[in-house]
Amino acid sequence: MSAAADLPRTVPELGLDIPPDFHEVPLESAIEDRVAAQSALLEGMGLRDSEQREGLGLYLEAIARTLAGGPIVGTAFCAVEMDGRPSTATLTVATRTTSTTDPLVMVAGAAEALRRTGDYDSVRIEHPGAHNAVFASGRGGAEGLPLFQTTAVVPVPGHAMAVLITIATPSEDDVSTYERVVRSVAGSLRVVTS
Amino acid sequence: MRPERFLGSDPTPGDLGSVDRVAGALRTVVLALTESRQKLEGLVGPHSMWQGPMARPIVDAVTELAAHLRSIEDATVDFAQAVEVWRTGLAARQQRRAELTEQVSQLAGRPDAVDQRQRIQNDVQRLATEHLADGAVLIRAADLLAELLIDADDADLAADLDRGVAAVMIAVDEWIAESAAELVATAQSLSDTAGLTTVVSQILGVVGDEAPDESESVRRLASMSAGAHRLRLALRRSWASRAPEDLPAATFAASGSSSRPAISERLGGDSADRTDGRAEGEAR
Repeated sequence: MSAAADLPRTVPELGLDIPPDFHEVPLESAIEDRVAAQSALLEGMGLRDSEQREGLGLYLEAIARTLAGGPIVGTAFCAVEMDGRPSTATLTVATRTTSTTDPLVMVAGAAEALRRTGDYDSVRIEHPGAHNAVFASGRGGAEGLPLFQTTAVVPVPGHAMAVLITIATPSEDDVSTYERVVRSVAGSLRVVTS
Repeated sequence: MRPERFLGSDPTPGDLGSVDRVAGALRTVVLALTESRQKLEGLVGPHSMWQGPMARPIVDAVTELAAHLRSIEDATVDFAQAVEVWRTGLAARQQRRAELTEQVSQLAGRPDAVDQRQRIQNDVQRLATEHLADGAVLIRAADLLAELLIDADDADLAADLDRGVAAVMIAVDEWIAESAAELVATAQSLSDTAGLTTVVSQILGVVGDEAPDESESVRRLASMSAGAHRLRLALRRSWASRAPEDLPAATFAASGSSSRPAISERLGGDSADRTDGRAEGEAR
């Protein structure tokens, strides 16, 4: 019998610090909230071109519909100037329940599982904040733009749950910067209330 | 000048060069012990991967091993200090022995110097006694170190460590069997979503000269859109010419706002039902 059957099923409220450079794709479940958030995002981006506004608006809504019901908690993008040139990245977060609350078993198991996929150039266990986390880096984007990705798997303390955070950028020169960002975000994970 | 020739025997035998070599070797041993102990302590320290109940037997065994190394390190330091004391005494006594040997040699051919010779012989005797006493202290220090090394039986430690590691490996294998597939699938979903979200930057004109719809997943996403035709048109063109003239400088500050990020709002708590639900308005 699986040990998971004995684990408490309470879902904790978690906190995660996302840098303000990232704009979250509105995923609100209520359509009026979502549309309002989409409009605010388009305004915040300062888009004046009507075609661009329409295209981006439709695309943001399409993403929201595609991600609904899945494990993705949120996805965000940044479009910034770095070292005098444009740079962009995405930050995507998911949660996953697992069969143990033990952080060692979770990180060692996650690291081994990700290694076995062969999809990552490096898989390592680090201590980005108060807890250990697995960081797996590799190239993604089999179709479309090639992306340099790092996925962090962070056990939620005291719960049979992990938060997964992926940062991805098409800018190879900025990979180390974005790896620092995802390490910082992963290190900020905390249980607000159990 | 050979002391045996004038004093009858050498009251302070010993080779300072050999003592120095022993002292040097002891320093090397202490450094190696310290380095090994610190590595062990770091291995199971608060920033190590060995956290949680399953790690406890391993942490305990390694901590105990580090404590063993610490006691050997301390005993070796004590012995090294005894050797240093011995060396200091040996050098002083051998200096005094040279002086006495010189004084005796000056008395050669002087039958009237019986008292002076006796005083020197008394000094030589005191020197020999002191040498033996200091030698005994050194031997006691060596015995203490030897006893500690003989008593250092780490068989139980090795067995504890072995059991701890075996238990973790079994638990990890079980976890992989139960949870790895879902975790890997979630990681794949994140990767796919990252690809979809990157298209936002393409529509903004910030990255890529190509049209965003080269990807099958983007085309599939567009086909599900309420405004599928308009979106497909938008995705078939390049937006590079519409790139913003100015972009905000990157800060990546950990927290730039007092309000809680929406992602954080959806993490856990009331989001428990989220994975079973769909966005309002989505066709099922």
